[in-house]
Amino acid sequence: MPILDPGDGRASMWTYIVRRVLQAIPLVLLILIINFIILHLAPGDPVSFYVQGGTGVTEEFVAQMRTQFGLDKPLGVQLALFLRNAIRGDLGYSLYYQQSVIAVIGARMSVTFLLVGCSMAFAVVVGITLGVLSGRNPYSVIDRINTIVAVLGYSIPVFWFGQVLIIVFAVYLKLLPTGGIPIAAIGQGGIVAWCRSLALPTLALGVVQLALIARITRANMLEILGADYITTARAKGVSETTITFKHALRNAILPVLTVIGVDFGALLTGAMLTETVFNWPGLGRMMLDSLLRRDYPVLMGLLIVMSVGVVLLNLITDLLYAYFDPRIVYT
Amino acid sequence: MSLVHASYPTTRIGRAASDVRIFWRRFRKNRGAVFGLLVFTILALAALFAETIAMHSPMEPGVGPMLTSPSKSFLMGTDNLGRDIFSGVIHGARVSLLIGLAAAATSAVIGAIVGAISGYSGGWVDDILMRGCELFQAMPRFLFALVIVVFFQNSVWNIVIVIGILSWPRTARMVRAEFLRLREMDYVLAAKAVGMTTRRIIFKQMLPNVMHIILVTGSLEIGSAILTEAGLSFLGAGDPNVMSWGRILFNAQRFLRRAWWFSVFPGSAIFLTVLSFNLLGDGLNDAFNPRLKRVQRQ
Repeated sequence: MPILDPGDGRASMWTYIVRRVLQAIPLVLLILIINFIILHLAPGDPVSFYVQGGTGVTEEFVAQMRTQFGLDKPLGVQLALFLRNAIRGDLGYSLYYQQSVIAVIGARMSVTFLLVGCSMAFAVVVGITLGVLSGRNPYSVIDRINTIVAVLGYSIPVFWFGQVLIIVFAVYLKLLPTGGIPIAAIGQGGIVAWCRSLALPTLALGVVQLALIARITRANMLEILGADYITTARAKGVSETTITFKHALRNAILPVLTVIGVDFGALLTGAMLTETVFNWPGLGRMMLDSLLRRDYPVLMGLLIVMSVGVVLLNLITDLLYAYFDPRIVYT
Repeated sequence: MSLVHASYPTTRIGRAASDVRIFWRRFRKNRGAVFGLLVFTILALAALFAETIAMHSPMEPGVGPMLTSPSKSFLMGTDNLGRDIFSGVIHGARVSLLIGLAAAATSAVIGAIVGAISGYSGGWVDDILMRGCELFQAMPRFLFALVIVVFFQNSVWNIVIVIGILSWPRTARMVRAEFLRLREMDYVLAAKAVGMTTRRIIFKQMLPNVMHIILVTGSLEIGSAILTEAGLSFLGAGDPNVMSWGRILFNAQRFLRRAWWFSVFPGSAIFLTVLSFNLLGDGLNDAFNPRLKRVQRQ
């Protein structure tokens, strides 16, 4: 293998990083614009939805509110204003919550992040373990199990899996609660109660990612364990454990990063459905509620947070990949 | 052993029949794919003859007592309004298959056209189309579908169009990659040399050669379209005029403690259907290109 000039290698990596960041900016802007257009093309506007059913609402009041929220201006002006404010970190004000959108979303974000984070951790740990074990022993029992988990994981609807978990573990076996707010559980029963209420949602959401990660890790382990440098290490008398973990896994683990990055959008979707099944007050539930009450500013904020999250995570994975794998050629 | 024998038929029809046999021999080796085909056949029959198979109308309340467990007269039990769940599952097959097939077809057509033009043209056309691809891939697909369906219209056809429009990038990328390879081939050069129009080269000469890719990605897309529709209906955003599997699960959510059958049967139907299309896709892939790597899932 040719030895890279470290100076040169680093310089090209930095250009790559800067270019990837610059590419992400127009993408985010475009997503903002598309979000804005979709929501503003929708029939009905937030003010009429807000005052609906209220008594003593006059035409003047509605008109006044429209002016107050800038809804009477032409669409192009509204878009420009919106973009300007969004860049400053101001996503507007929710009529329903009587709070700024940032505050509303921020309050719920931790709940969703807890769920997404736990599921991801679960998927990574179990998925890599399964992948390594079955990559080391292809066609063994554990490998068969891995294949089955992978095939099933791709096809199972997250929300139905959640329902089945509730039926089995909460209703029939009475082992775990049907969900509930994990933050409230801390006060009531401490860390055990907290873990118990997290268990089923984590499992439900994590299984798809688990399937993907296990399958990719297995494929990479198989490929790498057949490589020449592994044979060399064996010939030198390096122990199997060292070979597996130090030589093979380090290389096999990189593509897992891509899975996490590429699939983040799917994970958010899954989180939304899981929150509905387990009755969690996270971003997903808020999205649904805001849709039904036509709370445009909150909806817009959520769409932005989620789309930008996906773009950012993709960016971070690409950068991490570049950082961890010096062989990548930056073109 | 070579697949092409000395006795390989020389007539056109004979060749086609022989190709089908070879294809089937390879396909049959994949047990999962055969299982997928079997499930698909059963589903298609259920969808076609739903009125005959289902004993009741899926929407009609009070055909039985409320929330009764499965029995001879109600194979999958009844729901909270006394509707027959078996009838709902059978009629749901029609909705899911229709949406899955139509949405996948929409995305395949868009993806094939974009991918073909992008791969054939190269340069700035390719750049623009691929940026578009990235844009569509970066947007959280399900959330957009949800917003559009709730705000505009939640009819079956609108759901089909929304899912189709949001899911073409995977096909486009696969077709583009293949076109990049094909455009350097001799037969394409020959077609150019005899003065064939670009449109004809792309659609008549090259596109038939990527059909296998479109079919394989298409069958994976059917599975994910069915999952998306089920998710939309589960959140209460499906077509209110039809009984879909996701909608039954939406109704079941409040009765998990009292009626396992309410959730287990329709959910299994979604699961088996999506599983069968995924297995079918893998099998088609193996049968079309036995030596090539599998189509990437992402």
